[in-house]
Amino acid sequence: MDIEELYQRYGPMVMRRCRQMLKEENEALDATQDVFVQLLKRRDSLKMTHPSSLLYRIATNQCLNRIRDRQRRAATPGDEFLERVAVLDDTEPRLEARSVLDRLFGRHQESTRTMAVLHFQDGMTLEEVAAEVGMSVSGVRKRLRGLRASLDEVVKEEGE
Amino acid sequence: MTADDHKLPKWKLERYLLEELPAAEMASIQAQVEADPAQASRLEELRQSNEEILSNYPAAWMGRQIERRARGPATSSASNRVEPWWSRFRLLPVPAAVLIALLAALPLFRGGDETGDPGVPLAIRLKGAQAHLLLHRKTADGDERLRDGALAREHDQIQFQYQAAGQAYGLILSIDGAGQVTRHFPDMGGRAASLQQAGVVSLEFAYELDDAPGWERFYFITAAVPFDVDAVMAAAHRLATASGSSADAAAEVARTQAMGTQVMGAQAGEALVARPAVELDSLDVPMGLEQSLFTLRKESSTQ
Repeated sequence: MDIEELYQRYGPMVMRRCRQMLKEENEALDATQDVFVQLLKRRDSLKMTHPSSLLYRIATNQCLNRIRDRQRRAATPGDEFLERVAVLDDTEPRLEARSVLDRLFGRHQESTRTMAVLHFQDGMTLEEVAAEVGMSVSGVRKRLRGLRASLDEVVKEEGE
Repeated sequence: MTADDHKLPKWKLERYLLEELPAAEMASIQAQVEADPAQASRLEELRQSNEEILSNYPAAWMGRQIERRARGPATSSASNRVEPWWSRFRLLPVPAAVLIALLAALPLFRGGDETGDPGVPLAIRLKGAQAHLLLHRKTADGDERLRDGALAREHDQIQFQYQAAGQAYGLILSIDGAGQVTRHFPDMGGRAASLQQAGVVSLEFAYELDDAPGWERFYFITAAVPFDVDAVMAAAHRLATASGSSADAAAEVARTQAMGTQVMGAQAGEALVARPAVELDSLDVPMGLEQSLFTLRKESSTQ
């Protein structure tokens, strides 16, 4: 795996994603580097059939972790929806942090919170989310239904 | 979310640009882009954004940063280090003329004495009651206060104190000889920290020096009113970029000296103070902000 080549092709997309979610240049750059570090560390195990999809989700998860950490440190207020989603893993400790890569290795399912961002904020349909994370549509629907109640208020505001 | 976003989500446009969508979807989006100038414009914005990002954060530099980070904490051991940046010019060979000019200019810009003390950069010499930093190094039995220009080495634990001197808001950052910019205080948020006014104030963290060569420059940026951190960080990144060639020059001198070659009258050990000329040390910060600088020289691994 040539990390420079990967970055040359996918780095801008990852950086934009991190900028969009974190809204702070320095932290977005930091997160972008961490996304590729995760790739580098697991290079022997990864199956890079759809790098853009994989990197997009790793970046999403990476940013959610950072947003959650920000909240715990009472740092800069940001996107209310993302802040609400970011702390969801507090009730799903088994899915925390490692979820994206773990799913790739078949050990765990995709983090529900990442799916929530893909669906509610990025506008992916349930079918698209399902294809993205390798789950059935009904599986995705079931997972998202579980947190719908806690997000309803924010989702409604986002849609207004 | 705009109407355009509903029509063609950003994530899908990204993948279209990367040509990583199924063929049918590629064709469908291509038709939309050709028929709708708004979509074509969004696509063009993405292309321009690609150029901007790859220009500001080139692949060769990012590759090094990523690999360095992947190797583990040995090279990024600061507890609150906001890694990155930068040094695009490190990718370029340093012409001999640049190296020679840099070395020749050094005595002009160093306020040191005959003993080799590098002193304080003239242009940023602390003025009386100006807000400034005090640095301490952790030792086995406490700490020692460091002079500006003191020699330091990898793994040294540096503790910060500041004196606000009436300034109400501040930011501490550093640039090292590898061109990396690190934000120290406040470590998060978009605004400068509110400063305490009671004499010398200690900050509750330590910063561990890594293996970056040459020097570590600590900047204390202050103002009477709140200010945005981003503009200052951007200035730091620009400076790191501009001084990247100087960092290479310092490294080149160190290598040359290690081989036992006398370079342009530089005395033994002087390569280690081959920091950029003073004007290159100054951050181009927005009007109304004051800056003070504290430089640590880095001990070479060959010493």
